[in-house]
Amino acid sequence: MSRISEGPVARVLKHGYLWVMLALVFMPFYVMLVISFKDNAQFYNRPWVPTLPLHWENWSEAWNTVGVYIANSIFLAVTATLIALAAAILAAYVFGRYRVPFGQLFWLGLIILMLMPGVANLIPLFNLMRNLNLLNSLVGLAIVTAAGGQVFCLYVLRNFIEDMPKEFFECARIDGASHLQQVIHVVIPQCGGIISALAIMSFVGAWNSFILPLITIRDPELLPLAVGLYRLQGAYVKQWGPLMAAYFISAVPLVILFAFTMRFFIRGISEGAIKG
Amino acid sequence: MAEVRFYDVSKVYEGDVHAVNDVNLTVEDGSLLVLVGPSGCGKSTTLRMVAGLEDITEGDVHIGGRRVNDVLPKNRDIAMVFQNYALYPHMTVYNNMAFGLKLRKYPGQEIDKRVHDAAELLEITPLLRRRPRELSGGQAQRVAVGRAIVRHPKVFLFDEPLSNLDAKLRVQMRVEIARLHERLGTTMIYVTHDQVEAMTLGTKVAVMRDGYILQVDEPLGLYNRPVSKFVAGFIGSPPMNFLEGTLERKDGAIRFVSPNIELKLDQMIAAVVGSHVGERVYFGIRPEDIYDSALFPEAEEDNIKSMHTEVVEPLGAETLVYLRAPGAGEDMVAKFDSRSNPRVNQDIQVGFDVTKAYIFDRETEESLTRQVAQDGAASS
Amino acid sequence: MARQRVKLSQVKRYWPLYVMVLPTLALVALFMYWPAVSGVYHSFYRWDGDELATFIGLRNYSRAFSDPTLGRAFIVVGILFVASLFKMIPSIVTAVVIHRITSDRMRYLYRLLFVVPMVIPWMVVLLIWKFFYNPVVGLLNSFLNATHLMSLLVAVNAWLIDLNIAKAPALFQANMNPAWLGNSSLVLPALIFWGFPWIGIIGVLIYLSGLEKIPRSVYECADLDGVGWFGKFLYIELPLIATQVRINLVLMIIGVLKGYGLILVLLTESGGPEGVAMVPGLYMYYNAFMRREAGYACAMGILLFFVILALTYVNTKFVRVEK
Ligand SMILES: Nc1ncnc2c1ncn2[C@@H]1O[C@H](COP(=O)(O)OP(=O)(O)O)[C@@H](O)[C@H]1O
Ligand SMILES: [Mg+2]
Repeated sequence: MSRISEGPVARVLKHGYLWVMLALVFMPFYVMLVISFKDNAQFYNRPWVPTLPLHWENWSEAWNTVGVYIANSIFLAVTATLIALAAAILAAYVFGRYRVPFGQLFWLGLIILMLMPGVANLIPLFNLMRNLNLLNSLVGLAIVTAAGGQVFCLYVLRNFIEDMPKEFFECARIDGASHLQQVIHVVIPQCGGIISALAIMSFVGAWNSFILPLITIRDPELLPLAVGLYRLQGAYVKQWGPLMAAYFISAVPLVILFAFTMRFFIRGISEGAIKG
Repeated sequence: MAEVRFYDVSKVYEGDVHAVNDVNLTVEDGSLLVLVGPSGCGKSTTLRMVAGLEDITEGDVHIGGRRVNDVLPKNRDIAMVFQNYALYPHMTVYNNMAFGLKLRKYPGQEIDKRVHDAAELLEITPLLRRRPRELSGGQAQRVAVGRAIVRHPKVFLFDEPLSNLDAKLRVQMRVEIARLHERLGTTMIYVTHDQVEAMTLGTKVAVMRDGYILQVDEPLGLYNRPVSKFVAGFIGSPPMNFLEGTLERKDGAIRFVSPNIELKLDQMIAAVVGSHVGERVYFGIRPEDIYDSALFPEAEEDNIKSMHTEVVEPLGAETLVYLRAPGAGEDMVAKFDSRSNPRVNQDIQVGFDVTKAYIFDRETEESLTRQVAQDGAASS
Repeated sequence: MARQRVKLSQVKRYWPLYVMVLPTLALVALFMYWPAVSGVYHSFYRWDGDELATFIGLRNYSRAFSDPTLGRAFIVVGILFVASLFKMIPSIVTAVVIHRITSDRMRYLYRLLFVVPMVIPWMVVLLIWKFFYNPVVGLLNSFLNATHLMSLLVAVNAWLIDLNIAKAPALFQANMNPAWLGNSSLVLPALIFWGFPWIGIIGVLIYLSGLEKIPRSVYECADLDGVGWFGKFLYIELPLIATQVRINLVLMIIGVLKGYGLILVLLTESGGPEGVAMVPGLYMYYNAFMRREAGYACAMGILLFFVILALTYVNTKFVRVEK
């Protein structure tokens, strides 16, 4: 590891800086947690410090409102991630290993699309989804979210596969592996790290998606989290306690996800950054 | 078991890269052919066309009498060992070896037996449950070979399999591959850029350059009867010394004349180059055919020269001496045996064994002395 | 780089490849290419976003060029863009500081801790910031009052008015909580301050992986040469992450120019009081969905595309990276 020599002052400064930054970055957690146990009277009197009694009922009330949003978002994010990764892995194998006709054109198109502001296409996209009967449907939303999300996965994975020693694939070919078998036995095990990082990023992306569900989902019981919370804060005669509890609860699924995948995520980003 | 034949095979890569040109070659059933040449000369491409990993631009490749140009790699019944081994890092050694058989849906027992047999043969049984990153270079190499063996293919293809090993292991593995060939008796094509490896391993060696096969011969044939200056210089270490000059007839003998050195040709060589008197040629002589004159009484007066020692490298059994002709002329290397003890920066007398000399045309670089039976000359 | 070329005529042999790209191709063609093409097409029409479309040639474009709101929107986004440049600094600094932590375990711990806030949904972050800026109950005003920084602001403001540098009425007045998102003069500063301390964990991780590649010997050599901590940053660390910084810069340009979700959530569709925070993306959204001028929105989209293209080009051309 590459480190540098340091004196005690430098040491204190470095750790001090990081802890101050961490305190700031973690501030929202504190705010959410403290306020979530207050009723409005407590909140207006002493908003920033814990007060007794703790209003646990805020949490059940919050769960009753956001539970359905969370369920919707989980469905949306899982479906979109699966579709995006499945499509991206297959296509990345092809583009990483072969030069197919019109391949260059396809990539040029993707880059241009990346620069194109999404709003310009939003209305045509809306009309298209209406014609395909995908409006007001979580599946439809998942498919469209996946279509956008896979581009990034495709880009990263293609670079990865292109950099893999081609002997791996040739050896498998001589052994009689079909293209699909090469994907399953060679690509997926060896790109495991980056694939899990991409999966997490896709999931988080879908979890946070806002504009598209905002304009395509009408039924309140189909709303994913971001739009649900947005509506909630707009509509309420604000009950700050339950609201903050709801915010906190909506972070829980990602806490669980990250608890299990943090290692992959950090490693995957590092690998990806080196290759990409 | 199968023989491999190339009929006028050429390969042109995109961008008009002519990687292989008009190759005609027969690898006899059960033999080991070594394809040797400098890097980039088209060896891998040739091998990969046999494997089916590259399309054949022109000509035909036959394996076991069957034209395989359009046969998929998996149906050619070949196995290949790659320079970087290409062991799958996520599989154990066992699974690496079994992978090909599993894909071909062999029954589990059969797979198990074959893997264990191969492991035994290569003495890697204790490694079967390890993963590739827990293997040393030599072990990984064996596993890569093992993976090829389990398939019982008709032809083995090796693409520089020892290049990633250190010198000592390379020698050891070379011996093992030779032994393996003897045991299995399967046709093998072995690609290397290392001429020592080629010479020690091959029953037949094909020398390639710029996509052309220059000469196919037994190792000693290449050494003694190189068809061209390139082959002569490529085979042997240190490489053959070349001097540039003209052939002249003087006093009834033919002499090689360059600005700083003049040598009298041996009769048998003179006999075949007689028609080239007056032409520009290269004179070639191997380091091992230049002697300390004190230890070389056979030398004719005319072929003993005074030369300056620039560098002396004692290697134990022999000593390499870098010589310079007077007048800051040609540089040469000589390989003296351990009995002589030359010092650096001195003028010493060296004798040239001209019976072992070669003459090459200056323009075409082709050998003019191929007809000379070198073995016969050596014994006279 | 030596990818094998597959010709169209070899379909028979390579058909599985075509099948494998089909899902991606279908998704992209249908949901990305087609809407984009339709957007370009409709930029030449007066279009309500539905059936009604009349061809009007380049009039949407000429209208865009003379639309003062759009011009203002570009200025606003320009200001936000410049601010974003500075907001890249904390991530770089944080990465370097983490990198310079000597203990392997602490380094990993910090990395882990900085990733944790990623679990907060983006919407919640926005809503908490909105709450933070809330004039009555927000944390910002409470903080300013508690530390008496508010009195300082009031004093400075009054002083500036006296000097005729700032205009009356004063933004900050005693015993009055400023409405950060409700006062047209305070909206932009609030948007710039948003996200403090501006640490993007993905960026930090990417920089860290770049820094990790610096061999120890380089540092030792620098120590022998007597290079100080800032010199090491300037000559060793910065050049090594230059590529990553540039990639982030490109992503940032695209993100800032295209983005409007933040402003939509914090300040509603109309871009806050008097529309001071109207950015091009939001203006397009506003035209498309509030005023049903979809054709005009599409035309603005195309213009914005060219602006982004130009900036990306300038970035790749002039922001040189020493290898
Ligand atoms: N896929 C390819 N595309 C274009 N040129 C190639 C390709 N593979 C090899 N070549 C070129 O063909 C020539 C022969 O390459 P190769 O057979 O790999 O040589 P060797 O194995 O003898 O070192 C080289 O000049 C190389 O640059
Ligand atoms: Mg090669």
